[in-house]
Amino acid sequence: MSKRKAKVKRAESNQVIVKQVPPKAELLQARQWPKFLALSLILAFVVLAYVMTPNSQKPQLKLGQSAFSPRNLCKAPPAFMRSLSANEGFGPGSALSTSERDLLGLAVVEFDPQSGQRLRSWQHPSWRSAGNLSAFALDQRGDVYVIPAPRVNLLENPPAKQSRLYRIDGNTAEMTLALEFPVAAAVSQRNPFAGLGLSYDCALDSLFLSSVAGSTPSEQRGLVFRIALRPSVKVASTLAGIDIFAVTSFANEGGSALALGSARNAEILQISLDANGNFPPGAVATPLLSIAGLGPEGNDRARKIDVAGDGTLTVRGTRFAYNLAQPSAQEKATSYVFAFDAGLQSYQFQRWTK
Amino acid sequence: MNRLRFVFANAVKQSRRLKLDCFAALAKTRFMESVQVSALKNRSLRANGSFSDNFRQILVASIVICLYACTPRPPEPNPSTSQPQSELAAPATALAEVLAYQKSLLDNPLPALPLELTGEAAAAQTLALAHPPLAAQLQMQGSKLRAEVMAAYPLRITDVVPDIESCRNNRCFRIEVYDFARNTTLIGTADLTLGKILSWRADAGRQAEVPMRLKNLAITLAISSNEVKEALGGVVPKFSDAQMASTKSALNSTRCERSKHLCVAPTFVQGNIAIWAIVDLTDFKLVGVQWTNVGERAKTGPTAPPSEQSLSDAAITANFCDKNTALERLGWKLEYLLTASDGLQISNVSFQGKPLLNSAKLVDWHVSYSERDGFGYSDAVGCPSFSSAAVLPFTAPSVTEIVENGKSSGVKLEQEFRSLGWPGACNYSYRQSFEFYADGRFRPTAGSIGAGCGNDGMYRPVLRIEPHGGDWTFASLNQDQFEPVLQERYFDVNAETDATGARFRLKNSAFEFQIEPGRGQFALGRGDNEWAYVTASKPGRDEGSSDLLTIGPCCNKDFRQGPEIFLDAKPEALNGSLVFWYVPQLKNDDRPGHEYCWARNQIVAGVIKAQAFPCVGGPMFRPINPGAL
Repeated sequence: MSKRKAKVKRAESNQVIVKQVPPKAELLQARQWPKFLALSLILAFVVLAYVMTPNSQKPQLKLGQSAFSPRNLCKAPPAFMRSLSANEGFGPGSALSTSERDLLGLAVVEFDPQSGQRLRSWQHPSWRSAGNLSAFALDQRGDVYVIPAPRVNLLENPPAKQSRLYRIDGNTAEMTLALEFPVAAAVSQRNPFAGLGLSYDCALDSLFLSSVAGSTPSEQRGLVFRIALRPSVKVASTLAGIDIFAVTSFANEGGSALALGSARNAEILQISLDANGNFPPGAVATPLLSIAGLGPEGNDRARKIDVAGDGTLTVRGTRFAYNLAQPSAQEKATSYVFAFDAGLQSYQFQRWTK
Repeated sequence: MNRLRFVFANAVKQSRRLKLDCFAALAKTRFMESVQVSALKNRSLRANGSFSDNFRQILVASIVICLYACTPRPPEPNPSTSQPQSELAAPATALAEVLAYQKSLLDNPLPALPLELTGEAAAAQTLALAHPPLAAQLQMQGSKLRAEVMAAYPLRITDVVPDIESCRNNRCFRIEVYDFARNTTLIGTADLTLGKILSWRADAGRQAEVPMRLKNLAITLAISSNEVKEALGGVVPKFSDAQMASTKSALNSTRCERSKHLCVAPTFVQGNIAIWAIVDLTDFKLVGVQWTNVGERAKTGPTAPPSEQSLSDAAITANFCDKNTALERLGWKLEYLLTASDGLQISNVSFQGKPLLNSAKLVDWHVSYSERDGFGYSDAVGCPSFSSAAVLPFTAPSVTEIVENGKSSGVKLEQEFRSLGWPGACNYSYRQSFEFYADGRFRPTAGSIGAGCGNDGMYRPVLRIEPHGGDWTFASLNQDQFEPVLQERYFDVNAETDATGARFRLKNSAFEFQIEPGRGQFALGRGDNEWAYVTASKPGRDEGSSDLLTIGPCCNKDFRQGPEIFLDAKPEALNGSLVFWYVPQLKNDDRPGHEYCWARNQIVAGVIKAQAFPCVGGPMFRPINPGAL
């Protein structure tokens, strides 16, 4: 219990005393001034209580007590990472990366935390076969799923091979085609992208994948898929007609839902899933958050959304305009943090960082 | 009528805004004064220890606060500036305003242009501007950077962090200085009790709130522009018509995200239309104007307001990506548009009424670095969105006059493409142009303005030129003779030219051209060292006329620059229909005084400007007998 709350209680007891003055009618007719005085007294106590309370004990927003909770905490590191640690000298800071400029596809990399220089890298030969890759997701068995996306040019990422999901076996590190997902229209140089967002849902043992294949400047023809991983990899449910970049599932009081970062603008939407984790017929995504006007450029797209255990949402933003212009190599991604305000019952923007 | 509607709508909006301002001011006043008064009372309580005396004081203070807060009154002046709201009166012309402002910058001996402040704020500002680290920070390449004090106000207790712990008890001010060159806000803490600056922090990419003088300047620039006047139906708005002039891009999600300049968006409301004028306060210019429907936002949910990028992309896409634009000058007639990945394309080109070219375009840019084997990029240029372009147009194509020997001799259609961070490391800028001359000459060109990833770069743009019709013959120079070329093939680099500079000839029933590669005779060119190709074109078969995917890797040093994929294993006969491909090889140079395909940043008037050293390659098609055309 905060000090302020205790003081407010004292103010409340004063209020009780005030109520012991003569009846209301009498007050109205003859004692207007004492009433005003009493109200002022209450106000004064409230002001005094507020100001005398040390700053650190002043009521803070009740942040982080969210209605949202993550659904990917079961994800497991691939077994091949352990053998890389044992045999190749990779340390605990090693990570999977699809964004190394000089390494096509996926790579295991380790950076020096002090200098930021890359210390070592490793690639399974199959990891280069799909060209440049973008999002990846780990499942509860330590398998890695990854989608391709062109970078700078289409030389390594021909349009015909973009609507694909690849699986990397957690034990052998071998990458194989897992699924070719449907597209509204063929990928082309007018819109060279297909899959953009990918995340894993533990409870459903499924991936959520977003694709913008076939979309045009005037028409959103993107799809969001739930892809069941067992017994075989297949599309289980589809949301059509919306261009989405980031896609992340979360649990809330109503069950489960998706947070969807629009590929068209800076908005983040949400859509509820049914009890089976599928898109209910006719379901429409509704606004959740926006990163418009935030960050150094004010016009990012949400490329990844992380739901922390306390419900905090971290949105990673990027420039995206359906072209192959790349941020410079030195440029760090912008993270936007939103925390749940229990008082307002909504997420509030906290800060952005590079 | 427009004017009346505008004034009416504006008046309604103004009254609404005032109403909101009143509530905001009351809330702010209540908070500030309760903190100040209560702080006084706290000290009083501690000093005297008499609760009843203090209680009376608190009571009186509370009543005063209630009465004060509930009394309507004009908005508080901005504490960071002494300029009152009434100074939003009609200013001089935009040019005079800018000149006066620039003079104030030049005349200012301090590290940053100060605000006109009084009292403690002025004292805090004086401390900040005299603090040597600030002056050191605001220097680059030996030049003073343009910087301004944007605000000075009492430090909030919530802003007290360990390194400014003294501010828990002392009178401290926060000073915000904006560095226009680096688009960075420097935030200083001045402890007036100790009489010193406690700390500075640099917030890169963050823009401070603009003070009144910049606000006034932005409105003046907006209302003086023809674009705003046109958007308002030919009516020049009054100074007081501008809404939200203080709404810096950052606050309203509106940015000059490409130039990384400080921009504000004076907005004019006419009926249910809001006209946004984005003004660049770093370069003192209007970026653009866009109309948005005020009611639309309510219907469709939040959308980002226009920004430098959205204005530019929307205009370019609508006018040059989705449709052809006709150009007719000096006997030339053609159409042009921006492709998804093949740059600026001209099509249906005729001269003096006779069809000449089906199309000409720039397929790829291949960039390699000699000191790093296999390192480089294949860049496509094209539309700003829904394209596979890696380097984008920031402005629309331009058509300019060509002057030779003091006389107008032709027109140049040109498009520039840029990476966002140009001329920073590993960012690029390319220029593509088509020159058309009154005497029948024409020249497609490709140019680089660096700076790329190093001084060992080689640029290889792939130009494709497709003549119209099926009666063409092609010849190449071989030991002083032009010999017919009957089959598709490529030609080695840097071969000889004749005395007139010609390497090839191209002829049909209507035209006869000699093709002159760059050998240093053209402006901005030191020689093309070109690969050339001629391939057969068959009706019904795409020989590269459609928008091409990336056709070659970055770093091949031989003829394999991409066009060779259209050379069949068994070379086809040309049979009158052909495509001519031309790949100049342009080596960059960063040596001072010799720069080529290069760019660097320099400080001009306190802000960063790119200094460009273009290199340009491309063949000149010269009529062999101009009089016959």
